[in-house]
Parts: sequence; C-alpha cells; structure tokens
Amino acid sequence: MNTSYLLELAHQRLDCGQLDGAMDALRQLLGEDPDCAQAHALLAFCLLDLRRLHAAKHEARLALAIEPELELALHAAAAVALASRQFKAARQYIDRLLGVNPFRPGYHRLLADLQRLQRKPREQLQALTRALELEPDGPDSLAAMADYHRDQGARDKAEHFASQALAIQPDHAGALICMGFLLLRRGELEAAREHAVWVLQHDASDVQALYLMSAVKARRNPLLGTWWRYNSWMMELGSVRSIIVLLALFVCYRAGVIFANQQGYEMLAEGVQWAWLALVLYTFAAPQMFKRSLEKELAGVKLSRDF
Amino acid sequence: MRRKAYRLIDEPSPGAMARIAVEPIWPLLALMLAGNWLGMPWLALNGFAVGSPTRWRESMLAALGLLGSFLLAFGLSYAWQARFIESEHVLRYALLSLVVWKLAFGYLIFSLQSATIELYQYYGGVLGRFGLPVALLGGFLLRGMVLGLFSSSIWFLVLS
Repeated sequence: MNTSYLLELAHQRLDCGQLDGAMDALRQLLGEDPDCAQAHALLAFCLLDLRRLHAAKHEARLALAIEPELELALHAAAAVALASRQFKAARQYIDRLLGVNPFRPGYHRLLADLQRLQRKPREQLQALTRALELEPDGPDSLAAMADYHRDQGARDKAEHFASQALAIQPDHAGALICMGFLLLRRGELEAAREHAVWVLQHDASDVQALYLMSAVKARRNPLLGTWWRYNSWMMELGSVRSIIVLLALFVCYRAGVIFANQQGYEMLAEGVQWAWLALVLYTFAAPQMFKRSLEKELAGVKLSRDF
Repeated sequence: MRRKAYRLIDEPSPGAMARIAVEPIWPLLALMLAGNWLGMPWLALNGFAVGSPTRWRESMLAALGLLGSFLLAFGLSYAWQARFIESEHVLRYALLSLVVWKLAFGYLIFSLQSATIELYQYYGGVLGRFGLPVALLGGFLLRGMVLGLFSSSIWFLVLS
C-alpha cells in the first residue's frame, strides 16, 4: 500500500472520529516510510487526543525535523507545546503558522487558546474575532466565542454563539458543554445534565463535561457533587500533582496523630487513624466506583424530545 | 518479508520476562506493607518485565529512593545520638520525612509504570495475578524476618 493511500485513509478515519483506526493506518505507513513528516504530525494529533503527551511531543519533533516548514508539523508542535503549557514555544510556532497561512481560522483559535491560558482576554477576543471573520459559520470558532463570553459573564452573547454552533453541528462537544453550563445557571438541571451526558457518551474522560456533571450533581446533592468534583479534579491534576496532594494529606494525617498523642488525646489519635484507613481503602476503590457511577449515568440517559 | 511495525516511544516492548509483570499497584502496596526491601526492587523489576520505555528511569528512581532513605536514616540516627533531637515527639515528626521520601519515590515510579501497563494491556498484554499474594506474604510473613536480620536501627529504617 502506498503512502498517499494510507494518509488518505488516516484522514478519513480521523474525520469519522476513529482514532484507533487512524493510528493503525499511520503506524502501518510509518513502518513502510518512517520519513513521512505528515504521518508523524497526524500521529502527534492522535496521541494528543489520547493524552499521551510524551509520545505526541516526540512525534511532533520528528515531523518538524523531517520537514521544518510543513504546516501540519508546525500545527502539531504548537498544539503539543500548548498542551504542555510551554507558552513561549507555543507562541513561536503559532506565529510561524500565521506567517505561513494567516487565513486559517484554526490557527487564530490556537492563538486565542494561548491568550486564554495566559489570561489575556482582550487579545483572546481579537484572535477569536479574526477566526470568525474568516469562517462566520464555523462551529469551532462559534463555540470558542461562546466560551469566551461565558468566561466574561456575558451569558446572552454566550448563548447566542453556542446556539449558532449547535444549529450547525448539534454534537459539537465545546458548544454542548458551554450551553450546559448556561442552562445550569438558569436552573434547568435536567437539560444541563443531558448536555453533559451527550458529550460523555462520545468521550467519557472529557474533563469539562465531567465538571458540568459534577456541577449538576452538586445542585441536587452537595455531598455527591463534592465527590464528583473531587474525582474530576484528580483526573485533571495529572499524576505528579495528585501524588503531591496525596502525600500532603498523608503528612497532615501523621502530624495530626503525633500531635494528638503528644497532647494526650489518644482516643482522637485512634479516630484519626481509623479515618485515614477508611480514606486509604476508599482511594483503592474510588476509580472503579467513579467509573461505575459514570457508566450508570451514561446508560440511563434518554434525550428529551425538546433537545 | 514481514515489515517491522512502527513503535511509539511510550509503548512497552515486553520480552520473555513479561510473564512476571504485575499491576504496579501491588509492588506499591508491598512498599507500604512490607517496606523498601520488597517494594523498590519489585517496582524496578516490574519495569523491566513489561519492557517499560522508562525502565532505566524507574530503576534510577528506585535506587535514589533507597539511597535517600539511607542518608535520611543515617542523618536522623546521628541527630538522635548526638542529641540534636532531644524529644521523642520531635523524632517522630522527623521520621515522617523518611516515610514521605519512600512514598514519594514509590508513587513516582508507580505513576510512570501505570501509563505503560495501561498501554501493555490495551494491546492485549496479560498481567500476572500473583501480585496481591506476594505483597501480603511480604507484608505479614517476610517483613519481620528481613528487618530482623540485623539488629541495626539504620537497617530497619532504610528497609522498612
């Protein structure tokens, strides 16, 4: 099979959301032609979607090493740098991309993402406005604009853009989440939950959708909501930061026990030890419990006629 | 001729030792129940068994975990004997640093290995089911024997 056929196949599968299939085609292609920069760059995007950041970075670097001016390679490198929070490198790649092709709305959205992460709302709005000028009915740009206005507290504008995005692409994850939060704000809990579930059915690990679901749960039952929020937060934290959180908790627990014993509160110290043991047992079981709870939510949903 | 498949940098390359690979949660549990003597070497071995791309880094971390434990234990033991630490309560707080050190390295290796193990299972790899029994055996049967081999406090502090 030749390179162009496999590349086309990978593109088609990516368009259909078949990440695994696209990766299979790309790996087959690279097995035959390891110097195909486009395949390395596409693979970087797939890996980024799977949150395999280390491998994504490696593939983007390979793509750039083979063809330093390839647009797709620059795009992959910019996306990877942004995901790694390497803002300076991301800015350089985005500037190069915009230098090569200033008419691509996706590059302006990438710039807007960077500005959002750097908390520069004015520059973010400029980049999003430019993206919408280039592509007035692009659902990605509309959803990004909706998110921007929601962040700024302009709910009417946010709803306007999110509705427009959903009218064009009803299953657009970003627009669904934005609309879900807006509905939640209006107190329409069931509708907000449906929006979260719609996204989670496509990607059960979508952190923003999990946050929306947590927020809905919190409105109904503060305790359950806190549990959902905690799990979503731990998912977002990543391994190293969650280790730091757990170790900090451990130090607090041990210091608490030593202090209680020192002050002569043996009963309290014993109580803390039992509480800690319960927490440890819980943390062993928590991922499975959370997964089951999520599956239950996803299995039980039936979208209303109005949706 | 069969073409060589393209391998991604974060994917494991399991060899003959793959049959002894286990979920990294069990060596971590062994570190907590049995101590450094079982947990750290087992975590490092598990990395090699599954062909983890970060196996050398994991082994270095395990070695650093043991070396750091030794230095901390030596320092604390010296501080106690030289009466820099006078109260038993202060010693208990100080000993916390040793526990945190061991756990931090254990968790770091665990998190590095977890991603690899997930990929290994994703591509059809099967893990051994003997992890929990070994951790329990080490924690409840062998721990006392190993830690009692020498009547040195440093030996106990480093390997516990």
